[in-house]
Amino acid sequence: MTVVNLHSKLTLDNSYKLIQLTPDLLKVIEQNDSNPTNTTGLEFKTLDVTGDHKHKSEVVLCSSDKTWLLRQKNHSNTVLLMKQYEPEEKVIVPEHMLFGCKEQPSLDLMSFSKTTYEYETNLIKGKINLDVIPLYDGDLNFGEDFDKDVKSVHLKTIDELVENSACSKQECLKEWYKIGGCIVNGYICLPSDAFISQALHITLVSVLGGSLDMSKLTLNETYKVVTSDIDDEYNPYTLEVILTVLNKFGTKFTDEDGNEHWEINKETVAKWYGKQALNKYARQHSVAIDEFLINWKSMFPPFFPCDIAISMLRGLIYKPTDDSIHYISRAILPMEPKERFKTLFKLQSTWLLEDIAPFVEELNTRGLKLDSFIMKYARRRRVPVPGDRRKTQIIVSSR
Amino acid sequence: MHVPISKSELLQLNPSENESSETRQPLVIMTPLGRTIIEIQGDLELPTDEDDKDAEVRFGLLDIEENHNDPIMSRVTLYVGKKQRLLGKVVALEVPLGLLNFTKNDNKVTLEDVIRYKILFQDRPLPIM
Repeated sequence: MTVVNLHSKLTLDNSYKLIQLTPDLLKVIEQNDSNPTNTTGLEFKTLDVTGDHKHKSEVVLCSSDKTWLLRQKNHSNTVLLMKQYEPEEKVIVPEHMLFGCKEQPSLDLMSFSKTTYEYETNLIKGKINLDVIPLYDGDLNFGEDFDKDVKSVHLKTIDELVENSACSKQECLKEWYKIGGCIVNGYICLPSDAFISQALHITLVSVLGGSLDMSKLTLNETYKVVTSDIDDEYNPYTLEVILTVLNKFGTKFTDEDGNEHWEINKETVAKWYGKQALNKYARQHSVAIDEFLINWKSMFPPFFPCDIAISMLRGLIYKPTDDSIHYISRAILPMEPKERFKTLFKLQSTWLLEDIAPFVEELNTRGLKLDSFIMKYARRRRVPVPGDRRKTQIIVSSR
Repeated sequence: MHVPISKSELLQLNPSENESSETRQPLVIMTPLGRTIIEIQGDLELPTDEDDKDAEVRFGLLDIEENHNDPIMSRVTLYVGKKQRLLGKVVALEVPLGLLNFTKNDNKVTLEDVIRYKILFQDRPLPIM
C-alpha cells in the first residue's frame, strides 16, 4: 500500500499537451531512441496558405515516410498531469486527516498541468500540394517572367515542394515521380499530358533506335540518344525532362557499382498509351473492343515489345455493350458517393467488382473494406464465371 | 511551416535493464521519470492566486494498493479536502499518450514522456464516513 500526498500548482502550466502515440508512431520514436541528437524523427507540419486560399491547412504529423492527421479530441473531465515532487518540508498529516490509512504518506505528487483535450492521430495517405505548381507544355521560355511576378509563389526545388505539402518527404517524392513532376528552367512544374506523351514517345523511339537495354537504362545514355537526332532550334527534352520520363515510367535501382539505372515498366507505358488512345478514339462515341485494340497498338513506337489487354484500362472505361468500350474521365464524376454510383449505373447497369473498384475507391475516405463500402450503395452478388463454372466473380449492380 | 519534435534528454524508451532498476519509480504505474495522470469526472475546484505564480496547495490524499503483477487490478481511493472520497481504478491506456511541451518563446516542441497508465475516478464522490 502506498499513501500519496497530492499537491497542485495554483497556476498551471498550459504549455503541455497530450498526443496519442499509436504503435506506428511509437515505432518511429523508438527507432530514433538511440539517436544522439535527441530527435523523435517526427515533425508537425502545417501550410500557411496565402492568396486566394486564406484558410490554414490541417495540421499533420510526419515521419520521413508516413503522415498522420491530427485531430483535437476535447473532453470535459479533469485530467491532471502529475509528477513526483520533494516538498521542502515533509508534510505530516494529522491522524484524523488520514481517513483510515494506516501510514503517513510516503510519496508526493504535484499537479503541474491540466488538459482539456488530447490529440488523436490517424495514419493517412500524405498528399502532395499542387496548388501553386504551374503546368508546362514544352514552352522554351517557361519561367522567364516568374522573377518579376511577386504576387504568386514559384517553387524552385523539390525540397521547397516538400516544405509546401502537408505530407512526409518520401510520400511527396513518390507521388511527384508518379505524376511526372519536373523542373524546367529552374522552376518546379507539372508537364501536361500532351508534353509527357511526346517526351515518352521520343524517348522510347530513341532508346529502341539506339538499341539500349530497356531493363537497364542510365540517365546520361538515354539523354544522349534522345538529343542526338534533334536539331538545336526546339529541344525541350532536357536532362530533367528525361529524368521525369524515367521516374514516371520506370523503376529506379542501383547496381553493385553504385550506378543508377531505370527499368522501363512496360505495363505503365502500355496503360499511358491506352489512355491516349481512349482520348483519341473512344471519347465521343463508343468503339468496338477489337477495333480499339488495333488503334491502341498502332500508337506505340514501331517494334515496342509489350502486351495489351482491355483490363489494363480499368478506371478509365465503361462498357455500353459487352463488346464495346467508352472513355470516361474521372474528373467529371460526382464526388458524392451516392451520386457517383448512380451515374456509374446509368452508364453501365452491371459491373464486375474489379471494373468498378477504381472509380469508387477514392470516395472510401473512412477506410472501410472495399466490399462493405460498395454494399452501402449498391448490390453485389457472386456468380459463376461464364465458361468456367468452378470459378466465381462478383457482380455489382444498383439496388 | 514545420516544427520538428525533439526528445527530452531524460526520456529513454528502451532503457537498459541495469538503469531501470536503479531508477525504479515508487509506483509501477508511474513513468520512469515519475509522471502519471489522474483523471476525475467533472471539476476539481482549487483556489487561484494571480499574484504568486509559484504558489502551491495540498488538495488531497491518494491511497493506492498496487498490484505489481497486474497494475490494472490495483485499488485506488482519493480523498479530496475533508469531505469527499472517490473510488477509482488504474487503466492501461489503449494508446499510450506522449507528453509534449510546446515552448512559446522559441516555438519548440519536446516529447518529455510517454505515459501508459492513468488513475481514473469515474464515479461521483462519496462522503467520508
